[in-house]
Amino acid sequence: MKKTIYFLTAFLMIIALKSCTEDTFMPNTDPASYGKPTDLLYADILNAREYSKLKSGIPHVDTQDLVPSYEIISGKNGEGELLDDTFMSDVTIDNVDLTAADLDYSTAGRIIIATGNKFGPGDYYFTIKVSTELNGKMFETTFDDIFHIHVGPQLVKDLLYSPIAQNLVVGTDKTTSKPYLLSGNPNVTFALTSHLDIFQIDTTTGVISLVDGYTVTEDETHYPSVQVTSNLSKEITEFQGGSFLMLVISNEPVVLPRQTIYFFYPTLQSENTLYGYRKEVITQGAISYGKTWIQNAPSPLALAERPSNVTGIKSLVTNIVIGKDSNPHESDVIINSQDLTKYSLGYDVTTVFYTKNMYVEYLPDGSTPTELEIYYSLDYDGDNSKATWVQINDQIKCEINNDGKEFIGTPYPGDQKLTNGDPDGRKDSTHNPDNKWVRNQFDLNNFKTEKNFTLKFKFASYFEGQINYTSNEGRGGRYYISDVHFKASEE
Amino acid sequence: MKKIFYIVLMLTIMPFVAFAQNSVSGTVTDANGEPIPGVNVLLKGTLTGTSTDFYGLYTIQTTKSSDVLVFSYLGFTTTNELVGNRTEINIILKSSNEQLDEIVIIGYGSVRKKDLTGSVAQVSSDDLNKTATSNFDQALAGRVSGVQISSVDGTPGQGLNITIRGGNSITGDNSPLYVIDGIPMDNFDPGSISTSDIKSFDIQKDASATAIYGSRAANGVILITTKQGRKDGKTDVKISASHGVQWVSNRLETLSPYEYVKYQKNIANAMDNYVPGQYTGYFNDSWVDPELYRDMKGTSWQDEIFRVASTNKYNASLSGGNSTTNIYFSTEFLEQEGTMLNTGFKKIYNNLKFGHKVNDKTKLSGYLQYIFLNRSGAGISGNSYTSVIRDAIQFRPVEPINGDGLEAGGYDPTDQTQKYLFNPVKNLTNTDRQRRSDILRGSLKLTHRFNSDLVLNLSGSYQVDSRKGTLFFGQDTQQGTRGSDHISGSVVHRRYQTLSSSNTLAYNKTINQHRFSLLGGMEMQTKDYEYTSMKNSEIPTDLFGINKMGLGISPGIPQTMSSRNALLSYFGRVNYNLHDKYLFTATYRADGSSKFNKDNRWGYFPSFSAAWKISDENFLKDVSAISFAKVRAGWGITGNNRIGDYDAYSQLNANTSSGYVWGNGEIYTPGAYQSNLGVPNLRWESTAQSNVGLDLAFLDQTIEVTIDYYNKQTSDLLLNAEMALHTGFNKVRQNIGKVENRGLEISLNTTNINTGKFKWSSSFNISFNKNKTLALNDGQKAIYTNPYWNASYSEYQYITEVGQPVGMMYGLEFDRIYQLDDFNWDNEYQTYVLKDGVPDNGALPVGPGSVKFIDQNNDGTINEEDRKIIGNPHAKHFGGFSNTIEIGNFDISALLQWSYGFDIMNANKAVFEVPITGKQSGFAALADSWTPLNTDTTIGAVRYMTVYGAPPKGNQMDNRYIEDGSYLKLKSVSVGFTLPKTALEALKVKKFRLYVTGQNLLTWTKYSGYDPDVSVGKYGALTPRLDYSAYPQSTTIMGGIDITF
Repeated sequence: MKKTIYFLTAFLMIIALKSCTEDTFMPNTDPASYGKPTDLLYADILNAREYSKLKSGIPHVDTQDLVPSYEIISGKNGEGELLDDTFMSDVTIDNVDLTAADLDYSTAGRIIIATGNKFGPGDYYFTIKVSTELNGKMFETTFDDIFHIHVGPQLVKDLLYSPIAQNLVVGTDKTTSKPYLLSGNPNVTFALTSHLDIFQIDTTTGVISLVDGYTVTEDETHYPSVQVTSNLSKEITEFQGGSFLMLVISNEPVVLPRQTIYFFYPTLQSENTLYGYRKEVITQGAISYGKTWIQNAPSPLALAERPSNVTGIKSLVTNIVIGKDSNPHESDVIINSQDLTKYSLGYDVTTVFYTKNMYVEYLPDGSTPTELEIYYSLDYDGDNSKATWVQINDQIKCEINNDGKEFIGTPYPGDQKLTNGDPDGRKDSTHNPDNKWVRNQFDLNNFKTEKNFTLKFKFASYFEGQINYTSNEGRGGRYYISDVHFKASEE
Repeated sequence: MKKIFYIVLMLTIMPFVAFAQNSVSGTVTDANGEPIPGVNVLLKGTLTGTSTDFYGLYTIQTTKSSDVLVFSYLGFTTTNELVGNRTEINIILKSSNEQLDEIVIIGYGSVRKKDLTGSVAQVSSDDLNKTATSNFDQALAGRVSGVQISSVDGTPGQGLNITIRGGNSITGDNSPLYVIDGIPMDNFDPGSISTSDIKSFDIQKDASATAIYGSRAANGVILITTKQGRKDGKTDVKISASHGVQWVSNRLETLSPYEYVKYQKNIANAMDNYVPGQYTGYFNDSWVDPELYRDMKGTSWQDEIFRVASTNKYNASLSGGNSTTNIYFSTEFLEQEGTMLNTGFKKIYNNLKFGHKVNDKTKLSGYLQYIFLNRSGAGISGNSYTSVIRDAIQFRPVEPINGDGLEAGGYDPTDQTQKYLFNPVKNLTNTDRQRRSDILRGSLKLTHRFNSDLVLNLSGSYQVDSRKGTLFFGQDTQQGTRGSDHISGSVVHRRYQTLSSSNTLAYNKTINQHRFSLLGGMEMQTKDYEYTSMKNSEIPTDLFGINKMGLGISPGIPQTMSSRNALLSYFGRVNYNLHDKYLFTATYRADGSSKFNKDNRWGYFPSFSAAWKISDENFLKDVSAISFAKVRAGWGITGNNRIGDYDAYSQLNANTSSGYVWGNGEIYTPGAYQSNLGVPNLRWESTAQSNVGLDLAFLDQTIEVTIDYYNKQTSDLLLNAEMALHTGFNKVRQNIGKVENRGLEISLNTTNINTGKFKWSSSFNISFNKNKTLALNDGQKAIYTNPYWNASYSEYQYITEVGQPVGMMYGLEFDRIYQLDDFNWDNEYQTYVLKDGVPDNGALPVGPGSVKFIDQNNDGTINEEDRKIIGNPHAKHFGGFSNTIEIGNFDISALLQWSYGFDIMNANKAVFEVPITGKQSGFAALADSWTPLNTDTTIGAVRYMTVYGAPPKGNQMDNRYIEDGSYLKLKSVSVGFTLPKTALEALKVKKFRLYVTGQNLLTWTKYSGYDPDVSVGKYGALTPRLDYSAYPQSTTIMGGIDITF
């Protein structure tokens, strides 16, 4: 009997103990749980071209968040032969600078093969060692042949018939000019992919002519598509639309107007270089990253000059006002770099974009709290802070609200009212851009020898601390960017 | 002296004895003191005899003192009693077979358990009383086969979901009908009765048993009979007092201070694209180094909002009377603190019950009850925007060494994106929410026995349930500070009035081996409902709470409405018993409900059942091991009319948005709109159920087994069906669809040991139910349901599909995290490009670290087309195993309860295990979120290469958040000690028991939430087993004392 009572008492105590409250927090990661790096991965490389610079993506490796150190152990070609120093001297791998106060992981493990290297078309493999360290204990793993590149020939990326508009006269032997291959390995074959019943193309030269027996009763205009195939890699590049060739078929010769090539017209539809831009926040302020340079409707004024084949266009907007408060904010929109050398002969090259400021209210001293600054760089290589930027606001030709009045220099933000003065001396009531779209044009003819021209927009703040509009301390407002494009017009 | 006294006394008495020697009278009762009518009383060796009346009374003439009276009645041991000199002989008949002769309450009557033809289960009131619960329904889980008891969550005093033999209805109510002391009660609140007052608790499961209740019985019927006063001239006064403590025994595991800071560092790195920049700068300025936090204790916000709560319960009752008049009075006071701050439950219960014999033929009985219930505390689950549980999980566990200007917990009051976050302690403390019920219930019943065979019962009852809900948001609440109404209050008053009458005429007759029982009756019920609400906002101060709403300057438009429904019923039952071996029962009920149009108003609900006591057949009589065997079979139709009072009628409504202002300077002109499209032929939902059962007993009832198989099909579902857009109505109540439930139930009761001082009995039950949707609207394959547990996670997450069970979990199937080898690196653009053949994520771009789902339709994009059934909320089986042990004066009972093979949608994980930018903490899994240096994980990245790792809207529910909810619980343990007789005599009390009891003591489960017994979905059967922001279940230990004077 007693035993039973004791047993039951013990049982109840066990239950009571088991029922006690658990801890809220997870146990901290046990240092003993760390091990060797695993799962090193490099993404497959596209567009690795012969003898050209290659910058791989950043590899991922499971180090349980320990800082990895990378080392290239060896490289070999597709036949398994080790690459000698003539190859490997151009190959480097980035590592985290462990001596820096703040560690920069952004390029760790990136493999760079310098321009002018010896890597011709073919496959190459590299063996990489990854090391980590925790409390003096080293962990390392060597990953054999983990980084693979398939180097292809340089592709033809720009095909140009000059002039762009050409006239083929029925009943004559007239053909188009031989196209220029502005870039890429010229070992290619040409083919038409449209208008096959009208035109024929010389597969070797790219010269286009009318098919035998084709007749017209009135003038016809066509934009044939041409496919260029690398004879080395069989990679195909296709060119469509009026940006490279416009053919007019007539019974009598006609004089054709000069044409314009919109060689870069990004949609800005998402933050990615595939859509034409990158953004970078220098000072976030009170708004979140996700609210910085977000997509919005494009400028309606740009519709008139936007080519019909450009669709899905968005504008970008940043609004730093929350409630009535504004906090200093600085962020950049960096447009993809452009090679202007392709249009160095016979073209007038410009960049055009639309901007708008809205709800900008001046500081108590009458100055603007913010402005959209515009820069260019000729040495931007992906690192905003290291590039040399030149501000060009005062060189840009502007037109507000398509009113036909052009002027030089971007207009001062805000409503131009002089209530509290004009300390910057830039207010101009005849150029009031407040809540209006401004067309901006920057002449690039002086940059036609540049292979790496980069345009940048900066949301700049000129005040410190938080300002409140209700208290008449000013308002940072919002800035829009739309329809940024580069074009080359035949001279 | 003594001798002289005896002689004088004898001489005095003798004449009277001699005079009365010819007449002996008395009462025949059973072991419970209940009178037994119809007992044969014979003078042994003669044909002289009589039988007891309705009150168990008899009178018989004897001739001499050596006469022997023989008392006999079916089911009881025949008793011989020598008359001697006695004129009054009271007999207590001992049951010949106690278990089988238990009286089971059935609709409008009672029957011996062994004579049942339907499926009826009983729960011992002792078992219910021995638990540490505030309401009886909390003690039911695991005690009866086929009855699934599941909690919404652990809110104090909240009613549980009771589903008998699977849910019939898809969009309607699946709760059973309660019949309290013979009065059917819709929308019965289990809190409105004291567990101590329950005398018997019977659950009718199959249609043959429930069809007598017709229209409201499709979900089963629970018959509760309450205690009444004693009839033997004695008086019992019982007093019991108990005190308990409750606590939430587990926590949702969150990031520790060290892991949180490390996680914040990872976020900063990701936001800066792994280049030291603004975010890493902020991090360094505020947090400095994660290692500094490794040994910090941190703030558990869950600990901050939970508390060890106390419960006090006091109960007193008086039971007394005699064979003419008896009275029973009980009162109960219960005050239960919730385990979450500022929540609780309070009950004051008063019950006066009486019975009075007007004359030999007529008896009057009745009761009067007043119950006060108050459930207090902010709503924990169900709000799609705010949640104190969410805040307690997401508030950071530690503050930075160098302050970052944010409020405690990392909350930024100026950030509009954090509008719905608020300090959970303040939110709970300064939100005053009360839900009060005042219930007045009265009943009067007249029983007239025309003769021993014919009995008339007339009864009427009245109930008013007045419910007042108040809600007040003080200044220091989310709503008070950041809501659009600021300090605000609202009062909602609902009044339910039920007037009913139930009248039966019963006729019993035994002719040789034929026993007939006929019952006819009619019932009427009217229910009135009134609703009033008012609201005021922008109250300048919270000093006066809800009591000075008039101070507000932005009142809402008051709302009032009322509705009424009526039910008229006729019913009958025939029981036929042949040779006490072959039993037949047939019932029929016709219900007319005002909820339907005239042409469809009447529903007809027949049932038939039969039973065969095989053990009484000759071929089994000699099998001593089998002491009882009975086969049962039954079929019946029951109905359901639980729809709105006017759903069948087209209605016009007017509200604040249905008016017009015809032009500038014009005044507002009220307008009306059609708010409901009435379907003219809307009719009863009906459930046809077949049941086959087997009752077995072995070794003289030492082992009892009951097995039932049922198949029920509910058709003409009263479904809130989706409509074509051109109708102008989103949903309309219609009779469409069909649902099937099939199942098997097994109960096993054993008496393991029964010696003088040691008794041990066990009870085991297990139930299997398979639910299936057989049909929906014409051409409709599925009903898709958005459970809307959080406005930011609004998408279809449940599906009720033809061919599948109701309310299946629906979402995407997790594949893995996108890794680098899903992408190519474009050397030209210096960016990642998704490889051909790898699906994208629909609306948003994907990058390494994004969550990848299985592209079910191989269209290259993950979207709603790729959702599939990802979880089944229906248990494969559930049941309970209880043991009761008596050792001397100790009594011990324990109940294990389980539910196996069902899934829970743990929506908490969909929020707290997805990395987001910001200062919010979350579940421990966030420590394993994807980074370029932590790739072997199932938790996505916060951000990588400008791509956010969280899935886009529409892809937010996947099978990672579906968890196996199977559990085994030590549901209750009770240990009691009753003082021995000697001590009782010394204390001059009849009974004195001390006890300790515990509820929800242990749970064995793989489920990672607070408790697998959870289901906070807003849409009933369409959204079962959803766990988001649920009030956690508590562990309760209670000690008490019961004294009977």
